[in-house]
Amino acid sequence: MYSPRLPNYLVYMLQSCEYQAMPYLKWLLRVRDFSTVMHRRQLDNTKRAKLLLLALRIGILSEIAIGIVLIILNFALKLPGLWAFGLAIIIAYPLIWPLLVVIPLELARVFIVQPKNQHEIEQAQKIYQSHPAVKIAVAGSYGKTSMKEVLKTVLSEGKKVQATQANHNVAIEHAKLAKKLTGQEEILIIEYGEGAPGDVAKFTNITHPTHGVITGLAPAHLDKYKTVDAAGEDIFSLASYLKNKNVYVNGQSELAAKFLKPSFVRYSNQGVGDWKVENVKLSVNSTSFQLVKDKQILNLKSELLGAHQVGVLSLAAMLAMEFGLTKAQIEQGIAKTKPFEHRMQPYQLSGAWIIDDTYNGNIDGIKAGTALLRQLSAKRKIYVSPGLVDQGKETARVHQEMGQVIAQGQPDMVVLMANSVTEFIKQGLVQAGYKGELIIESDPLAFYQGLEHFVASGDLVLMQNDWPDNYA
Amino acid sequence: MNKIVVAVIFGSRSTEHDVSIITALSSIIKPLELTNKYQVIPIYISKDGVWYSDPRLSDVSLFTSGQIDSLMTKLKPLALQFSDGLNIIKPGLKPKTIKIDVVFPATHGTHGEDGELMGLLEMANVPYVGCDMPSSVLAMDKALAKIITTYHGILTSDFEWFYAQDFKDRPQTILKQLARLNYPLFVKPVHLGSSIAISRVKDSMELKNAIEVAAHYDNKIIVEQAVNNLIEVTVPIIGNDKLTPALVEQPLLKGEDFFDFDTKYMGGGGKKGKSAKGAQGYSKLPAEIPQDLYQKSEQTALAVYRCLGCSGIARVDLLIDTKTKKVYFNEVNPLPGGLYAHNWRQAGKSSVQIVSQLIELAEDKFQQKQKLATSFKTNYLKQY
Amino acid sequence: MQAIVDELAINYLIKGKGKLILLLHGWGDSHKTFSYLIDRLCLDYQVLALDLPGFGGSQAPLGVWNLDDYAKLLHHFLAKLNLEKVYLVIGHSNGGALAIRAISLQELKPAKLVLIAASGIRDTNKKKRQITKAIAKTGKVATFFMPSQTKQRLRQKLYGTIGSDMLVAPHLVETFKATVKQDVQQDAAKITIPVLLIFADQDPAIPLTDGQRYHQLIKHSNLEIITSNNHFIHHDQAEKVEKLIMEFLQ
Repeated sequence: MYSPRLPNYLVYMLQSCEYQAMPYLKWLLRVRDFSTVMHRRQLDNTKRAKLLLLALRIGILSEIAIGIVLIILNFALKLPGLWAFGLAIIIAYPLIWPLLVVIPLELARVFIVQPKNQHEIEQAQKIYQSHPAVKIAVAGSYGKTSMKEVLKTVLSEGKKVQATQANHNVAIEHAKLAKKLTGQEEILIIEYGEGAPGDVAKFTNITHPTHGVITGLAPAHLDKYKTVDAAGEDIFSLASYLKNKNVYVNGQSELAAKFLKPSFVRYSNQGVGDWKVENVKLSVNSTSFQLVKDKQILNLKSELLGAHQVGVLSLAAMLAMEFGLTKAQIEQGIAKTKPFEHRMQPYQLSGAWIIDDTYNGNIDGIKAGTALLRQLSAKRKIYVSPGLVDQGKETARVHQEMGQVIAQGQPDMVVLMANSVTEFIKQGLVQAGYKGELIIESDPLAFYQGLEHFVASGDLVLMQNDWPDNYA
Repeated sequence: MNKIVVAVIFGSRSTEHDVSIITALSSIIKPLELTNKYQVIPIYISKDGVWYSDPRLSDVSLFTSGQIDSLMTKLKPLALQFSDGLNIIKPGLKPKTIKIDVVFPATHGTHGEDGELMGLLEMANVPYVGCDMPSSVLAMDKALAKIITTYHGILTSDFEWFYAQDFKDRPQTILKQLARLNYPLFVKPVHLGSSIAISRVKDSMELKNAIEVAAHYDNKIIVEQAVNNLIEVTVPIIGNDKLTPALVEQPLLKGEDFFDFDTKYMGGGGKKGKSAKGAQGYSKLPAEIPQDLYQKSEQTALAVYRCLGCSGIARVDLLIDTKTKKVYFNEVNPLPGGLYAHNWRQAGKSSVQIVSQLIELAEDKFQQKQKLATSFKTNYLKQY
Repeated sequence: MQAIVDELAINYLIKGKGKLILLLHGWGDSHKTFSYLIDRLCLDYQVLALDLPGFGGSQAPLGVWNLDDYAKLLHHFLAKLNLEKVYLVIGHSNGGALAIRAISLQELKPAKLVLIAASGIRDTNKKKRQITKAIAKTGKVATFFMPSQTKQRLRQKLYGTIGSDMLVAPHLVETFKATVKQDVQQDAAKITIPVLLIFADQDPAIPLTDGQRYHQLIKHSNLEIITSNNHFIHHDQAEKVEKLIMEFLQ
């Protein structure tokens, strides 16, 4: 507690919680030993972090200084009692500052950030309303960013396209995109990051979409939505806004099935609309297939991995056709699609193939990954994961299912990062009759850093789910 | 369940002291810890031969930063107990005795790899990884290794050996003994593991100088004929009775350059990240030689490993005359630098698999040896 | 390769055929400092580069040595290799001072000499040494309370900026002291063979004035000034240095 690195630990925790007061305070309550907090990552030296760090250090030092002054005054001016107060102030600093640090954050949020955001969002609403472009909204519990990027890459081959950045997908980010627009764009792609009931409805009112893509439904953000159905209601309000026209839905998402309407276009690894998928070939660093309708054939090859990408790529190809891109442009566009960092991203290490899917965070992603694991051939297949986050009451069930899904991937070795869900995954593995080796790793950082010692030529490693340490 | 206690011994009084540190820390301790099955105790023997043990000794930055020097001034030397297995006694106010289950020797060269350390461990009756004392002694004496392999019909380049003192006393006799060999010749100290002090000579003047150099480092010297149309290859092998060779590897750089820290050890084991290159750039892996020579190399290496009585792990160096298609035995390394992990990885064995297998092999060998009768009750003393 | 000279293992490199060129590296350096030059010179000459005792792959001297001891070793080294006729000696930094002293003592008898940023003029450096000493002394007080590791690093930094080579080879501290005591200006004045002086205009270790001084002292000398702020001119301006040497050899 009295470590000189206390400010670092606190800022690190704040940063990991994205400067949200509640999760930070909850974490603070759980922490017994601050020195164990920073074992997964290092502090990201952003401007904000540096400022906070400076403020904390000055604050703590001045508190200690005041304490010392009081003690000196006690003896110098013979004011008895002051020394106890001074000492108390010095001793109490590790208790006071972790809490005090929240106050400037919250003040800034209420008085500066929020009013400013509100104004910008109102401006954005006007820009979107009058913009002549096709506006494609991408919503869903998972795979949004990936879908957005594929659409952007493919459509850019023949159209002027703008899209929201990375996974920046809330109203203020939509406003940022609006500010950049020149009016010349032909297609806008806007990602909707739902987090609480009514979010998607709010986004549609700001961005005025003409097309909607729904990538699937899964238990996510249940802390706010409570049930999957409630999340579905919110996400599918996009379809209602579009009057059920120009709505494209992932046909492979089981939970989304009950929200489907006949007018929706479904896409899956079987095809999209009237287009059929044929000759799918999966490898550790590419996916290729044909998209066929009547006598038209598109030969598509992407660097994205896994059968679950076939539907996404098919939808992008079909929309590109509708928007008037040529066959050559589409094939070229699909060829340019590649994985993001940490999302089914393959790389070689010591002769082994590692598929890095650590940004994945839901059971559908796990199904997609393990399906690929089963389909690819390798001398030895290793599956690595700490489990999923944010599953609310479903935690036990979801992780048992996860165990079963992993077993279906038929890995030779499963490595689980030890935490509160490990036991459930283990149960799932046992239920599904997993026979391979199981390693429970208590030091994730050592494992990830020492990965090269674990693998050899011919191995295939699938690493899924990052487990932020504030859940550990 | 209690973890198996593995002591990794490294450093020691050897010209390869530094290489040993990297082998131990990067290629042995790190993977052993990653298995979660072993409690790893680093035991460091300083250049002066003092034994230390401290958890901080498994951190490579301690050595690369030079902080080891100040740590050694603070640490107390370790005490060892050799009766009833190996126990280390950690000094302190209340000395702590730790029983070692398996020892993993990670020393290169003199005072370690040459069998001295193994002899000590035999006396302690503790399982240990790698070649035993007799095979280490043979492997680390280039002349003895060649004599034994020649006896077993394994081809090796023509050679003579002699004691350094004899050359000082009767140089002409020795030079006469060497006259039957054809230049160019290699002059080597028989025991030295590293390429330091090895010379290639073309005439008698160079030969005399080279012998002087070898005599500066060793009391026994070997002079051997060079192999023509040469390709050098090396074959790491693992196993006690059932042997598995790694890939036949063809080093491209020789001697010190090949064992350059930065390029070889640090590049492969030390750095994290996605572009670990290791020694790949410095050797052809697998060697680019015709299929028949590749197989012949494997067979020769396995035959050498067996006839010298190696166990656990070793690396056999071979010389190939590409014209005559002959494969010559050159020398054996009982503890390959960095365990040759880069090669094993390419061959499909990860570092974690290698170290785990080596521990198992050590335990197997120990069990087998326990079954042999070494002492029996006699009434010899009473009859006396 | 190694050879045993005066009971010391000396590491060296010999390459090429023709007239013999001997290369002498500076304090704390090794023969590898010349690899660029060696690769080019060996096309027309026989190049011999050694690690001086205590540096590179060579054994350290058993006692305290000065330039005279090093000069004697050079003589014995060449005799050992049956190479007594040296055409050219190239010395960098302390290797230059050594070359001057060795020629003056007739331990080396080359036909030509190249001095690259050669040291050996001690009076202009006196001030610098005094500063080094003063800082070392005050430094000792200031660093008294620091952990030994920090102390070591700090001291190395301090000395480094002042330009002392002593810490580069800490095992040779006494030999270093004995070497820097030796001024070779009188030896330089005795040299009658053609000498090429290559100095950098902004060398942080050896001032250009040293080069000019040698130019005054040595009868048949030519001073070439290279624009560089690097003491290792033969790395920093390798091609220029090579060209100058080649012209000098014509």
